[in-house]
Amino acid sequence: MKIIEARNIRKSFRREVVLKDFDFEARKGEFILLVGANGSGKTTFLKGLLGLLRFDSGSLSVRSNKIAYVPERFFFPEFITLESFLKLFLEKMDQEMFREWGLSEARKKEMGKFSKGMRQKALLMQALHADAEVYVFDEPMSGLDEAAKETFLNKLAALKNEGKTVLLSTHNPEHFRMLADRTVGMG
Amino acid sequence: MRKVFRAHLAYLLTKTNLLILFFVLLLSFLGFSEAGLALDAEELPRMNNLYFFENSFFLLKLIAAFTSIFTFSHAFSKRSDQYSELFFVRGVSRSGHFFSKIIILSVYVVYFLLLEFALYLVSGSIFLERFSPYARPFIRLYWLSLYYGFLGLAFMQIFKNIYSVILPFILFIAGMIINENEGKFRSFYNLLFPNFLSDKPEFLHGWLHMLMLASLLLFNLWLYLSRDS
Repeated sequence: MKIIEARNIRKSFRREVVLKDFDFEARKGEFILLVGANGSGKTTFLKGLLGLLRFDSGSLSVRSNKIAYVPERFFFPEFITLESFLKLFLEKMDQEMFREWGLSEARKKEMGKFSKGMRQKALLMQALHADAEVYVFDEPMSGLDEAAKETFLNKLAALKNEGKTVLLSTHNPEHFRMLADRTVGMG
Repeated sequence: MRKVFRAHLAYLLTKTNLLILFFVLLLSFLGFSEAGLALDAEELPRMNNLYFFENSFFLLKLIAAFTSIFTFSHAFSKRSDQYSELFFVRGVSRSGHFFSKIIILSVYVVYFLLLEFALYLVSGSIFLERFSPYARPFIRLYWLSLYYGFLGLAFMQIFKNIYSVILPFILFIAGMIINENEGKFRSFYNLLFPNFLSDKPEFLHGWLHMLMLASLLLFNLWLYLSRDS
């Protein structure tokens, strides 16, 4: 079953055309890598897919409203603890999820004091622990240490086993080759 | 929706905003003190009370307008509003997000003016023998602050640049100058860019300004719904 279908997508910013006649489809349970150089339109396409920006033309159909998303860049509030931040987006939390990301100690710590890697982990947690059908990741490995990369890859493998649909954009597809069903080149 | 409100609050109470709030309150207190120290002890207490209010309120008008313009514009800047993306993908509507944020920011401006009013009360009690505060102008100042906050937000959304906050502030100051003279231009200008009359803290067009405030809010909503995240 096609869960995402996009046809003849076009998007330009001022006079610069970022996406032109772009077609894409994803079946339920597929793991798809979006690869391409900077400015190839990966982020633009993902944002359009999520309804965060409007395509100039083309047709788009997303047959799920249970979506989790990790943006490429994110601005965190300073005076909020990790636990309070996650409570904004997750229905339930447990000690185990903090432990597996190495953030048990940081649970009650204000996010203004977090390193880049810790913030990225928080961003991944709000998506990976959400009850979604489609998971969209935009450059998710940015700032992660080796242990966290390993945890993330294990989590992705678990999502794949559960039959979730995963869309992941990256500059470095090597990490995900074993998990991906397809790779879509952009640009 | 409770979570959305909580997120708005978390993103409003940033280090930058709290620092600005602190310095603005400090500046106000210094201004109120200056107004108090400039009073003539030989003058009638009733007149001194009026002079103190007029001098304090002049400074407060500028501070309140600028704070409101900055707060609304900054809160909806691309960076400060980016968390909305995580709510939108979870099914929160853009209009729901917009209005809930407007509510939080409007309440923030209420708190700000309450703090300013408290400073006015404290300064008045210190510097005046028989202090009799004026409260009603502060309520009108709230509506004026909201109007310029919405105007700042509209400029920011149109120009997509936080530095555009300077434009509504210039329009605000121009309004203060224009209101010194009567005429048709003053009437027209006040319709679009309201300000207090030069001799008393009242509006020229009364309740018509509320209609303009509501229109400006809806215009901002339209801009917000049209913009890309």
